[in-house]
Amino acid sequence: MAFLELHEVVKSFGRNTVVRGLSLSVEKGEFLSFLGGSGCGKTTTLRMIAGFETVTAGAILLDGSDLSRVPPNKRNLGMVFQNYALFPNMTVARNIAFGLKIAGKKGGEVAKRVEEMLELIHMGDFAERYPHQLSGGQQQRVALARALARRPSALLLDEPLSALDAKIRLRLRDDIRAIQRALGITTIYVTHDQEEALSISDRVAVMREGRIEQIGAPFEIYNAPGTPYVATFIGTLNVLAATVKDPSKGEVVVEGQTFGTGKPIGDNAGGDIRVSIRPEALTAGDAGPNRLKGTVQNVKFLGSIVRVVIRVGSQFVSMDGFNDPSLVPPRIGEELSMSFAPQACMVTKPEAAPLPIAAVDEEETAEA
Amino acid sequence: MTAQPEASGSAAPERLRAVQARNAPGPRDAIAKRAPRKWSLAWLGLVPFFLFAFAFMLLPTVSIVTGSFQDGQGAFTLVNFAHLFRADILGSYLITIKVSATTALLGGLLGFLIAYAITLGGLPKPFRSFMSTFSGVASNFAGVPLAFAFISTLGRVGFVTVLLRTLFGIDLYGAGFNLYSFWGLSLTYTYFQIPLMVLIITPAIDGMKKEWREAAENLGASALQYWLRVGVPVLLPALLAAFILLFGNAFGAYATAYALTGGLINLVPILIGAQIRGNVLHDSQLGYALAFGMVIVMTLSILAYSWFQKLSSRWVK
Amino acid sequence: MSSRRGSRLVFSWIWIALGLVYFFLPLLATFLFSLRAKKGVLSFLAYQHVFADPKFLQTFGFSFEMAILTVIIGLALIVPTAIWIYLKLPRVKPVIEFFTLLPFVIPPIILAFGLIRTYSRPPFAFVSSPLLLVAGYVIISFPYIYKSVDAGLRAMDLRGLTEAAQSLGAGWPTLLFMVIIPNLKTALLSALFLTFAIVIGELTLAVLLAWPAFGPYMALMGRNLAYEPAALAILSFGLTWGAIGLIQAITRGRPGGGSNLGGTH
Repeated sequence: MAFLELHEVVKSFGRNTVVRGLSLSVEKGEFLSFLGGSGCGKTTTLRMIAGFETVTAGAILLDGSDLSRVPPNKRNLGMVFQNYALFPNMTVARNIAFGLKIAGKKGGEVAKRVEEMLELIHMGDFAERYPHQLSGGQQQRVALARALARRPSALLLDEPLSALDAKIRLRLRDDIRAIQRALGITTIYVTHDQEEALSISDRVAVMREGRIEQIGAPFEIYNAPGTPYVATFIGTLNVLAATVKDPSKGEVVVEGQTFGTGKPIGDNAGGDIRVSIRPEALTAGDAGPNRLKGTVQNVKFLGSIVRVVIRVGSQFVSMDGFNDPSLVPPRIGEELSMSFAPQACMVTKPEAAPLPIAAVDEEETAEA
Repeated sequence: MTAQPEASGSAAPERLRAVQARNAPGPRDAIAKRAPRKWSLAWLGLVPFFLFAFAFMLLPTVSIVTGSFQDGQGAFTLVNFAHLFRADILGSYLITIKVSATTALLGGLLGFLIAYAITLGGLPKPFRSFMSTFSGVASNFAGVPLAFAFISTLGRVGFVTVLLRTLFGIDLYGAGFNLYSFWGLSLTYTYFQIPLMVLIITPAIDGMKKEWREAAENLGASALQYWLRVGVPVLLPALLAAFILLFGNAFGAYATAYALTGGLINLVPILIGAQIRGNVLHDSQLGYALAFGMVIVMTLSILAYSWFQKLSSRWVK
Repeated sequence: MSSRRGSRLVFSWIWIALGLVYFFLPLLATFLFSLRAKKGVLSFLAYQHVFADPKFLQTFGFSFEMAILTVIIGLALIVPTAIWIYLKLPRVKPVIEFFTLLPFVIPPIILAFGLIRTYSRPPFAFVSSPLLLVAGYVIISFPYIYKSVDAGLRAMDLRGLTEAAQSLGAGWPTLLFMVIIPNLKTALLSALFLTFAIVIGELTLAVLLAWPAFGPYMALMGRNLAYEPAALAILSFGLTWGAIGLIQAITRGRPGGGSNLGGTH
């Protein structure tokens, strides 16, 4: 049995149903992210686990026992909020000690634990500072220490990095993951940033409109998206309008150019379909086996990645490659050929219809 | 990315240099000399306002201060301040302070509870705007009409007095209560102190993040523990600031006391009023000293108030 | 968890109920008292007496005039100043705000005293001019007028509109009368009603400067009569409520509503 289980959890506010029958199993020590846009129900689900929202229907079980009867201040789950929520009238040390004091722990034990926590977040010198004297990143670290001080059964984080600068965000998310690994604590992490979710999670649950679209390891979610929504939500994706040329051979035509997709297509010849390719799956040149020719429209430097946007007929294709200072980027207006493998193509019907046969390795798609 | 046919090892550095040359600062980027600011004309526009404020606010106040240092002939003296320590004058200050402190506490406490009820209390939304409007009206309902209202309510033949006697057999006045006394006056003052408190403290309560409560609960605290350890401490500066404002408000009140007690209770404002109107105790120099004393009290209040406000805004953003 | 919310709700309702009782009981008592002029019967006799009294109309009219003058002078003083500092001297704003808040610190009793002392001797001997009363009233209403105007200016993005108008070729008069004032209507009305409410019932300045205003009239009635004062109180309350209610009505939903922080005087 999993450590944390959600069974058909439903949450409605009046007539508005925000979470629709969500079921989930989280293993002990696992780092799971809820990923989705606003309104998908990820924060609401987290708050139900924490006890700040009541459950309209369904059950939440922690280590086998039903949480719905337990008030939020008795659940022993550590929560980290987006806006840190540090108590402004207390020093860093007293903030961290808060949960221990409430639990009635004695002074010496409390002091020792607080020191441990400060060491964990590398803020040993900050014990007597007040929250308003700290930066956002520092406050969040203190919030994390405060939540962990009581050794909770699980850690819940509600978009903890959204309010921080990009650089701090990158550093802090690695810190969070490192701490989580060191402590082996079960963690649920809510975010709308897919790069964040992919980089630190054991598993990612992509949520949409109150349901889980797909749940799996980052590698799977990215390379084998179960639904077009997941495919477009995760990473960037070129989605090209195409027509089926030869269904049995899996050949398609995009802007007058033909190539194969490696597997048969469950549609008639001449049918309207979409072919999706990741930008990094394309390389410049004629090597093949598949080729697409077009005109360079734009060249964007994204830091380590150079993204070339190429116009193919009336459509645009983005091609990603690593930055190399010794290479000259293509000029705008230049004719360019792109090569890619047939397996890099994902074929779908327009308007997010279910995938055709044998398209993807069997993976859990939307949880019921 | 594969190299383009015409690319060579030296092409890239050259292109880089060309781009750098294009973006280098040139003559047109030279910082233009700014025209000297037209200070004098802009300040002219403020003259009417400052003139008016000076003539009708500052000058009168200053003249009170200077007057308190002068005797009847205009010579410098400190005699008026000596008179301030007369037993009856001190008594007047004492009772004014008592009334102000009492009504500030009562109004502050009850006002806070009502403000809490309409913000965090979980009441339906329309309540809040209704109470805000009503507080705005009620805090302005002071002076003569308020005195009349309380006379009608708790006077010797007031509505509540009679009600208590006929329905519950309680004889208020027999038991020693008197509307025209310390407690009667305090009760009347509290009528506008409570809504004033509601108006002042509501923004501060709004500024309390709901996440603090949730974080505290998450860490095991009960509602009481949250309020004792986080809620009240965080609100304390705002509460103290509000208390001081209420105190100052009551201290300077004249109209209500005048209309209710007609000079029976020797509050400082009443005493000052008596000096102005040339009553039995007419000694205008003393009046100035009294007024100066009041100005000191108000100034100290406003300084304390600003200090607490600043403190509060540091925590409750 | 619902029980926690429930107990908080009960707590809130208790205090709201108590508060409402405390506020409405005196009003109810006053109203009932005002109906008791005729023995044994509820009637509006007290009100009839009030309206029949020529002094009532005289003093009310006097205070009404004072209120109008106060509003005109107050707005004429503060609106241009507020606009001026917004556009030309934003750094002076805190100073101006301080001055507009000073009247809160200087109680009317002190103001009255000071005005009398300063202006009862030559060369400034106009202590017997009604304009001195108006000046005092303007000072008292400074904070309220300024707050309303300030809120209105802030809500309308004065700088942005000014720059837009100027870039389209508008001169200062056009800007003032066709852009700024129309957008300030709500704030100006707020200030107007608030000032009215304050001036009509004002007692301290009026009685100490010895003017036949509505406030002193009410106080005088209170000395001698029993039921008419109650009627006056109800009328006065109705007037204040009406004024504030009007303010709320016009500022509802619109940004720039003024504050109606009150107090005693």
